[in-house]
Amino acid sequence: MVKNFSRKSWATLAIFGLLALVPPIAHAFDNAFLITMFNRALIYAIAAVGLDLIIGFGGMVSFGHAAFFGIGAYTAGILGTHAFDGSDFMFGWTGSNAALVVWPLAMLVAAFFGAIIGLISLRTSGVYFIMITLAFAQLFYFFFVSLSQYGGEDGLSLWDRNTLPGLDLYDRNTFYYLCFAILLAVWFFLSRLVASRFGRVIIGCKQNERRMRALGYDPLLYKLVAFCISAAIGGLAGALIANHSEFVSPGLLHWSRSGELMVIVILGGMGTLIGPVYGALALFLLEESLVSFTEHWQVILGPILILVVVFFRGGIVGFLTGNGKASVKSGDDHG
Amino acid sequence: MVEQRTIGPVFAAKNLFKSYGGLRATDNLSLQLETGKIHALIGPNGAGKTTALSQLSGELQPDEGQVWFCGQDITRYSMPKRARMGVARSFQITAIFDDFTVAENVAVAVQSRAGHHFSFWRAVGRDKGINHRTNELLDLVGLAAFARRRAADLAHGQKRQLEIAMALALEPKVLLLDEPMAGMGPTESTQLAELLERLKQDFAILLVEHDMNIVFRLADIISVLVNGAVIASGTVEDIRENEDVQKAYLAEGY
Repeated sequence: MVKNFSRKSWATLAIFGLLALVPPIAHAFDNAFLITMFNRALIYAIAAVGLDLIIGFGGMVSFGHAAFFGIGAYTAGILGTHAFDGSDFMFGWTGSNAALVVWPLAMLVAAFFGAIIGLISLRTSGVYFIMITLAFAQLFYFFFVSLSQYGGEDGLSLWDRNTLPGLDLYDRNTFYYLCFAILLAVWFFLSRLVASRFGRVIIGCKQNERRMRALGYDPLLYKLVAFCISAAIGGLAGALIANHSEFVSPGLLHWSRSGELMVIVILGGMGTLIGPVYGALALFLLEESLVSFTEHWQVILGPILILVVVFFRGGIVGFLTGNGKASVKSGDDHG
Repeated sequence: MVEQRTIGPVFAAKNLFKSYGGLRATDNLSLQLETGKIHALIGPNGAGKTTALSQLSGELQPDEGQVWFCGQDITRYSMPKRARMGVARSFQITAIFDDFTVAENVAVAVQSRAGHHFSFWRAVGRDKGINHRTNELLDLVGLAAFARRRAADLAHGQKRQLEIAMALALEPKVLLLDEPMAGMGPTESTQLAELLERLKQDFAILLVEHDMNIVFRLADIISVLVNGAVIASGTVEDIRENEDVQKAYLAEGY
């Protein structure tokens, strides 16, 4: 146990250290664009770490997480549009461009819809849960496709990046390190959470819900709160990606995006929290390198994923820590 | 435990009925549990013992009838709610958290009593109150030496002991035990029987059990269930001498 713990700590330190060094390395190679590319992986890592909370610890395999990603992004996009042209958003409010307003709001809106989706879908489990979360995500996808007021299918440009006192979000380094700090904060918060009383309850619910009920717990309540926390983190990542690409479109909510987030979690090692950071980076590097061979890079990615699932059930982190099961409390069902 | 000398039953089932299609699984079942007494529920396979216990614990709703606890009608209360009030159950088929350690299994039960489930920040593993109570319970059921072992790796008998520790962690007034000795060897059964004898003064216990030796040794009152109905209820002597019981149940070779 102690040995595993320290190996996992090394794996954590290594990936965060590497990510911290990206900007100086990129500048050394005189390729500032690398920062922008890695920044994208960082933002996906934030959403995926949040997703790992419910997949890896809560046993809720959500196949609709892109919905929260998209909702967060559209919150930033829509508020930014009104702030830009000064038009009325709602009740005389002309939107906002301030990160301290927009980002918490993106989290709140995502958590709100997370509560609604969760209340309905958490009454099911297994394949039904996967399908219902997917169906909800599709619902939101088509909602934004038909939202012609905000670009519909064509999407919406974010004319100005959000503003944060004392920081220039247009600066590559600043924005990169801000996202990095947010990733660290989210990871740290969730690491504490899964070791807390609440964490123990959701892990217990994943293992044996009936037993939890016999012990006096109402699983739905705890699972719902975990689902909302995960949704809020997805919303925050969405607001960041909107700032990163300065563009928001229904593509962010496409079902393949939900799949991508799940792939990141599984590839990196679910139930580890740090795994998804590896997963996001690995998927991004795979994509970049495979794309140079063929535009149908997913044809190669697919088999790689299958190999990982079959041979490294603990994902990358499970492999690094020499623990195929990744963690005692991870997604291994001991079949 | 609050010292309360309740006169009469702390827990009672009144005229429970439950049918599945044409099959009457519970047929006018009434029984009472008193603090300090072990009430054994016996009956042949398929008599509806587990179905009855599920209605008492709140996992199943009866079609008719009531369940009373401490003078309160709890018929419509869910299993979690009853558990929080003080009605704890164990399962016939071992139900523990395989991936938790032995100590964590008990700790999650202790936490149910301790509350603060929406504490997101403090490490539960270092919670002194929970750990202290957990260790007490592990000592009580004789699992202290296995605290750090993964629960799935315990021997079968130890898992049954762990279940008892988890039920006790809820500090219940009522214990509903569904064949706690199932699958245990003779030594383990005897140990558990001794534990139940030591515990019984503080609890009202319903013991669903197959092993007649254990039942005759432990029970103060025995009810015999056949086809969902209680055909006899009384002391060990009454039941031993009851001809209906002998015909319906004991004659089957138990």
